[in-house]
Amino acid sequence: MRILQTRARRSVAAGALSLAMLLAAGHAFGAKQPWKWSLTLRGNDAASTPQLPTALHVDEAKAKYYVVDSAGGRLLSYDKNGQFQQAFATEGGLDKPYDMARLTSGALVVVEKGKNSLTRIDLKTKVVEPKVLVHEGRQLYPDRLETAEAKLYFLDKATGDIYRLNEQLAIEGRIPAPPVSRGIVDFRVEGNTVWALGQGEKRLYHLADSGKVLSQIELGSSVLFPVSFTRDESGNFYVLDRHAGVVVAYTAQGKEVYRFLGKGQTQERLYYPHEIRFDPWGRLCIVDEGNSRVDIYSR
Amino acid sequence: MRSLRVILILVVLAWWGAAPAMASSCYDCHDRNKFKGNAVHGPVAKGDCGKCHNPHVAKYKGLLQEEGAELCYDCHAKERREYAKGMVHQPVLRGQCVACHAPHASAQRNLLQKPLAKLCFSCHEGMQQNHKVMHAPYAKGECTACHEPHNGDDAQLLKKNGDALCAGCHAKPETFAGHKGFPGKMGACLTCHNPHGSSRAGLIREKLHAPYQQGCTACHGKNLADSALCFSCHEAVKKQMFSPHSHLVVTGGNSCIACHSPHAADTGKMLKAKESLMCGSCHADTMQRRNKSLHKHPMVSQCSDCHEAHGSSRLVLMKGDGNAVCSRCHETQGKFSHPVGPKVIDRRTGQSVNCLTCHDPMGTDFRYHLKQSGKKDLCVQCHRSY
Repeated sequence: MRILQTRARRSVAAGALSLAMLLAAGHAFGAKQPWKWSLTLRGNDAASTPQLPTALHVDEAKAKYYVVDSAGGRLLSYDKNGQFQQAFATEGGLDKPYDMARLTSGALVVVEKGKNSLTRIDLKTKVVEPKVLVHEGRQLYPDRLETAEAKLYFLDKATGDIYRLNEQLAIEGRIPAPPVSRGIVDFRVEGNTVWALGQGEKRLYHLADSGKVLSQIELGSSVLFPVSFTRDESGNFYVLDRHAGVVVAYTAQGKEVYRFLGKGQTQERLYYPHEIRFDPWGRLCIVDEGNSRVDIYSR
Repeated sequence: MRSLRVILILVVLAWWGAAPAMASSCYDCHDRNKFKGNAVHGPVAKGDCGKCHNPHVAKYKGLLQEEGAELCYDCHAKERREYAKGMVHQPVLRGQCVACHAPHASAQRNLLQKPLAKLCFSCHEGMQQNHKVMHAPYAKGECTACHEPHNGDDAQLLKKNGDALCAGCHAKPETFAGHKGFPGKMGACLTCHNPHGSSRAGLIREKLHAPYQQGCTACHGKNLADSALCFSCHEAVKKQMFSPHSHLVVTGGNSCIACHSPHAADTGKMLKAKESLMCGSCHADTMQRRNKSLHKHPMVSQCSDCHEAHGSSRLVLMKGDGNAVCSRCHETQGKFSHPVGPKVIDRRTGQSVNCLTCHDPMGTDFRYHLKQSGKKDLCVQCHRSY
């Protein structure tokens, strides 16, 4: 008798708790999330639509977005309002382009996975120079790129180390990766330090130039497969979960505050997204590889 | 508000009405001898049948108060928390405690349904082999000497990492006498030794890497570092690894040895473990999604049936586009189905329609592992005028 009485009480309490949690969840994940879809970078036909986009580069001065189309072997440019501008490829096409950056000289640097190179493209002289990098006898495998203060940084996929290059693509420094089980998959440069995302550990590492871990942020087990991250001006983190198709927002101290979007193929859904970045105008850009588009959200 | 209170009272009274019968009256009909054994479950020993069963009416088979593990976790609350961590053994994940444990009594320790090895091999059929040379715990059927039965840190549910586990018994210096010239710190035992058994002395795995057969210097001492050493022979793999998506992963050294043993293995692919275990060790969320899905693609033996193991330019490392991969088996659907191919465009994405536009073979909760309900929800995403 006592057991059944306890069970009944427990059921009522559980019901009330579930209702409270449901309301709380609606508040936390729905009402609080401030992002609204703004525009999509995708053309009207195959020529202006990326097949499998893997990266985004934004040129603030020219107010242009550049989308790296890995399957199409080309770069596509769009204006600030999402209007398609043009497609660019070298003669014979870029060989599995993966990421790109623009140097202060105006030259483009593209990671060509098919050549395992950093390829420098001088748009004025039309000279294309693929460069396979070797450091201290080890071949390097360039992955993601970033520029900061006239320096180019790239992630070495095989080690997770981050290399700093000058505009001639000569190596000037190396930031060793912390010990991780499945690699560093994304990074952001901040002054003399770097934030790096450890996928297996589901952890963000704040690294000094020497590689010393200054601090860490645990993303928690609710993130399935973190693939990319970015930060806003307030220092909040936005982590892109490739498998769940969601963006999870954390405070600068690492407290999860909300998550938004979800897995799918309609608008405001993500299907195996690959990169998340802020554009210079404070908009959140998500490179959605599986949906062949870049979605841009504004507050 | 008042009517809600009345309903609540009626529900509670109905529950009170179903008061449990005690063991003495249960045994009037149920043979008491069937509830005896070397190990007897606590409530049975106390004659508290009502702890798990309702004597009058219940929603669940066997007049159980709750279904599956939920019933067990009512008392074993600590286990509910503990068994949710890390990689979880399939029966635990599915809440099937009784797949291994007898709920009343057993002749075995820990209320196991059968002797330990017999129980494990009833699911892990391929693991029961009559090896010429056998590891002592394996020969004695002591699976839990090395494996956790409920959950663990890795896909093989090892109690500790491989080296630490081996060192627990094999710490004597003579163990290492056969490893003279071993480069670096002694370790990675399982890359060469099969912890269950082998036809070779020293439990060396069956397949030997060709350079290893030639001697250590075929690889060690060469002026090539990391994966570049492997690529110097495996040119085709190198080409695959030079893809937008690849498994060129960080291991603290050579990426290839994250999955492959450079010395000895059980199969020609030189994988360190069964393929699904290797993949699942990193892609645990995908494996769990598959395991929990109501509908998934049946009969797929290995991940590499559909996915490139090294690298691919395609989404999720597919071996080809959705049609090409699926129509290798689904020949009819490859010729006659919903229109597919480069001329049929998915208006949501601008991509050409293929099998994977609608199906997710890794598993969903919809029939035919459709991404959404095939009755309407999926179709109207494109066919909006319907």
